[in-house]
Formats: sequence, structure tokens, C-alpha cells
Amino acid sequence: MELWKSIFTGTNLALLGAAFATLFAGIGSAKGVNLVAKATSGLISEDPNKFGKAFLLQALPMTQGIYGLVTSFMIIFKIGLLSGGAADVTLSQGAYYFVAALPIAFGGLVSAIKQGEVAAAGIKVLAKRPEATGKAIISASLVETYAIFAVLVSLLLILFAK
Amino acid sequence: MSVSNMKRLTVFAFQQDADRIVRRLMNLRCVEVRQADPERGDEVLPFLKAESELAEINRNLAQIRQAIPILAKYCRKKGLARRVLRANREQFVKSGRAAAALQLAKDTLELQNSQKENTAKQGELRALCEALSPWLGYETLLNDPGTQKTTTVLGSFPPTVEPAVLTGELDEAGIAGEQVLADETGVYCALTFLRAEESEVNAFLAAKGFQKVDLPKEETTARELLSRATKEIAALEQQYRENEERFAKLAEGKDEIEILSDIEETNRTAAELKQRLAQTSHCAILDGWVPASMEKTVAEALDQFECAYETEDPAPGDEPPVLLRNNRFAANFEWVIGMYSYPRYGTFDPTFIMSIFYLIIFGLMFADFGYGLLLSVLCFVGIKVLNPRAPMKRMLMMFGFCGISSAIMGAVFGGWFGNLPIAIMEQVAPNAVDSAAGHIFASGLWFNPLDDPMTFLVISLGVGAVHLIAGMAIKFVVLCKEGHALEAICTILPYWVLFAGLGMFAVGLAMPGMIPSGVSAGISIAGAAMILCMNGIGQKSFFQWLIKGLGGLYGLISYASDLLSYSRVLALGLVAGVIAKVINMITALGTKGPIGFLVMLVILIVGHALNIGINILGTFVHAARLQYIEFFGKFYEDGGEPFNPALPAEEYSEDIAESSK
Repeated sequence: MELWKSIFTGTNLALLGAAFATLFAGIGSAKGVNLVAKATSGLISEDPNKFGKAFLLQALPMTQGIYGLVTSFMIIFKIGLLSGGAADVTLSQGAYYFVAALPIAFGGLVSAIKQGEVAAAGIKVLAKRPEATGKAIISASLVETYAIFAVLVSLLLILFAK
Repeated sequence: MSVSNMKRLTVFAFQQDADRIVRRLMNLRCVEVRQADPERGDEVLPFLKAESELAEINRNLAQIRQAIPILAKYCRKKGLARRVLRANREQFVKSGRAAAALQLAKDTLELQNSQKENTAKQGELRALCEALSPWLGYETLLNDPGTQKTTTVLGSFPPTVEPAVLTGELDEAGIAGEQVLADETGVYCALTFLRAEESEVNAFLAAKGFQKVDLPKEETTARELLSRATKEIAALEQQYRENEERFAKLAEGKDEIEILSDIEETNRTAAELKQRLAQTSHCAILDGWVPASMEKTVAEALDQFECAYETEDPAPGDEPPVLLRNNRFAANFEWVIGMYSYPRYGTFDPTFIMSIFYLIIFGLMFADFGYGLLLSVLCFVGIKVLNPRAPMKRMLMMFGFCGISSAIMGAVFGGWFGNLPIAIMEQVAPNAVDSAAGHIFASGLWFNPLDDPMTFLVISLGVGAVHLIAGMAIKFVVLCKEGHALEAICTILPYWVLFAGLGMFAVGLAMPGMIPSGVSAGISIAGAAMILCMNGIGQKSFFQWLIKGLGGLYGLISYASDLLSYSRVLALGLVAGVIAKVINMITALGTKGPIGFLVMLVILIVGHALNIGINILGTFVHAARLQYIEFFGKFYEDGGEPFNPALPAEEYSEDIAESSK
């Protein structure tokens, strides 16, 4: 019971949220970038000059991982871990931070993978009709909208934490 | 800020003039030559032929294109800046420089081939030397045929075989073995045995792991052959170096080949355009589009030829190409429109209005004084230093302007490489944080979105609301111009009444007492009622009228979602700010000693560079998206084909004679 109490603290719960944000959004971005990168390899084996534009498409699903990272840092700032005040986080505050991290953790996870799929399809556009690549980039960015909303909610929740 | 009017140009000329006319029009840069309509009355006309001409041009171009990158490697004067060569192309061809340049390209390819052969030969000889090296102690001639009864083979046993033991075993098997060399790669032997026993010997040798070696059957010893091969290699190396020097010499003529490349490329375009012309027994018929503003210039040029021409307005079924006309600022944003789609011919060109909103939204999303200044300096310096082509130049110009906008917004909202000045002050002079300067660095001239995200959200949505209403206003004006004023008043105005009411309500919430809630609620309800009643005006039955009205009310949902979409302005702004803050914070962790200072500097530079890179991409894409989907959705008619006039090629050079005309 003592052990359980020492693990289940507000600080740890908040840190769990911080870990979730980077972990899941990062998994999503890794998968998303992976999808695009695989498609890109096929393209640049044919035409290495197109790497510049392909790189833009590859970079798009990277952002979710960064949003996750930003969220994690915001939580770490807020609970004062870096300035040594983390002990004051109550259980309910910790739970609040944990919940605040969930939108970007899972919104980021799914949207990064799905955005990766769209961007990988965009690589085909780049291969066949390079002049239409801009449209492919915009298509992929439409998916990102939901990652942006997720990180917005997560950040607002954290900024407004008492 | 308009779509240029187009005229349809038809030229009737003698066939022998076709080439000169096409080239003249190419130099004017304002005629898009179309596939001529071959049907004239009952007749279907053939097209002008230029196959043999094209085949020769393509052959030359293939050689030129291969030669240029080869020579580029040998050019000393390499710079980042794009150089533009200048030449009088007509003179260039007449004076024989063109022929010389083509010969230069051919020489280059020939030399390249001889270098490849040289390298291959060297490779073979090196392999031979390696194979010969263990046999230097073998004094017999390599083509020694053996005797009538005996034969000799050369080869090696694996290094695990003991030479002393081997001698005994070979004797037992009836083989006379001469051990030439034993080292870590194996035991090299010349084995002599009776021809009659060849199959038994082979079985024995296979069991021992013997590997036969085939050396060239030359009438010389291995040592002699090796020294010969070494000499040959040296000669080849010498020749290779000499050839490299010849390359360096040839490379001096690269400029000439590049000018020729442009000339041939221009020839190709001309030949391809000629194939679009229809022909009668003596005449050629050219069909094309010309901007109305250039009509006179084209007419003056055509007057110099014996030809008949006419220009006419586009017929109802025509789809003229779209040329956008914008001022020097907004023209830099045309490519953003091009990424979506050009407006249909004859519709509204929103480039200028879009460029203003693009600038504001980009600035808000990427609000950082340092980042913005850096971006705009890089872009403007890039234009000066690199001297890029027009499309690249316009892109850099646009990002340069966006950088200025970011810098201004950054000063207003407290972004100075994130919170870098504050982070430094905290380390160096903690007292300064509370000073007036410290306050400006922390909160900017107004406030920092990290401290007050809600106010920034309201600003984001406010800009969004203005953006959306501007889109609706464009639609309103377009409808009125097309003579549908009633439709404009019925379908757009009621929404504005409602928005005005909701806006007042929001102001009332923010500043209580300013506007009585009754007034704003009344206007809102009146607006909603107007939507319900007026949206369906002109419908035939009551039922259709009601459906239209309800549909109009339901459409409010899409306006709401459009508006909320602008919350991304806040999100992207926060992300850039927080990452910058994190970088500054990590940097502050390692400030001890000179090495710590260096590490800190590296983290700082790399971190901020990454942040700028990823955020410029995000900001660019999402600022564009807000135009394409939220703004254009209100009025835009897409599907215009960009005007693509025939041009002389200018990849490397400009034609002096032409520019002086």
C-alpha cells in the first residue's frame, strides 16, 4: 500500500501525461514519416532531383511528434519540475495534466499516420505530375488540421491549469 | 489585380515565312500558339511538318546536354550566383561559333568515352598484377606447354595447409610440386604430373582444396609480365592525367556550349510550334492567344511580314488562357494562387486581397521578431547573391515580405527568438528582467500569447471573421457586376446582419455595458429571420422557398466551422513560441566554462534553425490553406489554364540582339 501511494502521486500522474504526449504523438509521426520516406525512396531512385519537394511531404507528418514534445515540455514547465517545485502537485492536479495531454497524444497518433498515408500518395503525384505537388502538400495539410486542434486544446488546458 | 483580357490571333502567311514569324512571336513573349483548327469549310487541312528538323535538333541537344554536366566538373569559376551569359545568337550561328561549340560537345563526349575505356583497362591490368604477384619466384615461361608425358598447372592450396607436410603428400601422389610462395593467403605451387594420371591427380587436389590459377599464356615469366603490366598502367595513368587536362581546356568552352544549348532549345520550341500550324498548298495558318494589351505590339511585328492577320474577342465556347495582372508587390503571391488553381477566364483575380491577408496571417502564426528578421534578410540577400530565375525570385520576395510581417508581429507579441533576451537576462543580470526593456522583451509591445492565449485566440478568430467577410464581399460585388444584385442582397446581406449582431454580443460580453444585450440579440434574431425569409426569394413554390431558407440557416454551421478553423493561427503561434522557449531553456543549462559556452552556442543555433525550418513549412502551408478553403470557398471560380506564351530558351544566356530590339 505504501509503495502504491508513493507511485500514484500527482507529480507522477502529470509526468505520465507528459510521457503520453511525446510517446504516442511520436509513434504516430514515426509511422507517418516512415510511410512517406518509403514512397520517397522509390521516387529518388528514379529521379534524385525531386528530393527537395519530397522532403516537404516527408516533413509534414513530423509535426505531430513536435506538438507532443511541446505539450510534454509545457507540462514539465507548469509542474515546476525544472525549478524543483514538483512535490506540490496534488493528485487532482496531476490527473488534470494527464487528461490535458490526451488530445495531442491520441489525436497526434492517428492524424500523423493518416497524414503520412496522404503524403505518401502525394509522392506519386510528385513522380507523375511534379507541377501539381503543391496541391498534394495542401491535401496532406488538411489532415493536420485535427492535430492542430488537438494540440490547441492540450496547450490551452495546460496554460489554464491552476 | 485582374485577369487580363485575351484576343484570339489568327495569322495567314506564306509557308516559307512560317519559321521567321514563329520566331518573331517567340521573341515578343506574348503569344500562346495553339493547335490550329484544321477544319476550314469542308476541307481538313494537314499540319505543317518539321520532323526531320526536329530530329536533328534533338540529336544535337542530346550531345549538348550530356557534355555540359561533364564539363561543369572541370570549371574553376564556380559561384552560388546564377550567371547569365550574353550573346548575339544570330551572330553566334553565322560566325561559326555554334558549329565550334557543337564540335566541342562532341569532343567532350569522345574524351569521356576514352577516359572510361582507360579506367576499365587500368582495372584489368591491376587485377592481372594482383594475380601475378605470388608468382614472381616462378621462373618458367608462362606458355610452357609441358612435355609429351607431363603437364604443369599453377594454383594455390589454402593457408591451413602446412608446406612441409604438403611436400610429402605430393610426392606420395606422384606429383612434382614446386612451392613458389607460402603466405597468409595460401601456398602457391606449380605442380607437374603425368598426363595419364590427370583424373586421379585432380581428385586428390580437389580434396586438398587446390585452386587452379589461369595466368595469361605469354612467352615470358611472371616477373617480366608484371613489370610490363606495371609500365602499361603507368602509361595509362599518364594518359588519364593528360586527358583530364584536356577536359580542363575543353571546359573553358563550356559557356559556348551553354549558349548553343539555348539556341538549339529555342530552335526546338520553334519547330514544335510550327507543327501546330495548319497548311494549305502555299500558306500556313497560325492560331493563338494574345493579351489585349499586347495586341498592338504583335500587329506591328506582323506588319513587317507579307501576311494577313486578325484578332477577335474570345467566342462563347472558347477557354482563353489566364494571365494575371498585379502590382509589383502582389505579383509575388501569384504562385500561391497557382498552387491551388488559376481563376477561370473572365472571373475575379483575388491575388492582391489574398496577399494582404496572407501576410497578416503568416505574421501572426510566425510571430517572432528574430525569426522574421532572419527570414527576410535571408530572402532578400538570397535574391541579391543568387540572382535566381523569376519563379524562385518571386517566392523569395514573398517570404521576404512575410518575414517583415513576422518581425512586426513578433515585436507586438513578444517573440525575440522566443524569450532569448529574458533567458539571457536571467543568467547575466536578473534585475534587468523587471526593467522597461525587460517588459518589452517578455510581453512585446502588447502582450505575449503564452501569458494570455484567450486574447490571442480572439484576435485570430477576429482576423478570420474579417477574412471570411471579405470573401463574401467579393462574392457580393461579383454578383452585382454580373447583374444579380437581388441575389447578392438576398443571399449575402442577411448573414452580415446576423454577424453584426453576434459581433456586438461578443463586444458586450467583453466590455459589459457597452452595448445592451437586448440590442445585439435583436439584431442577431433579425439577421436569422432575414436569412430564413430572403434566401429563398425567387423560388417558385412556398415549399422551395422554405427549404432554401432553412438551408441558409443550416449553412451557418459551415461559417462557424470556417471561423473556428482560424484557431490554428493561435496553435501554430504557440508551438513556435514554446519550442523556442524550450531551446533557450536547454541552452541555459550548459553555460559553465568555455566548452559549455560553445556547446550552448551550438544548441542555440541548431535548435532555432530547426524551429524556423519546421515552422516556416507549417505556417506557409496553413496560411495557404486558410486562403484556399476558407477564403476562396466564398467566391472563387477556379479552373483557369495559366497563359503560357512561347518564349526563347534562356536557361543560360540572353540574346543581346533581341533585347535591343
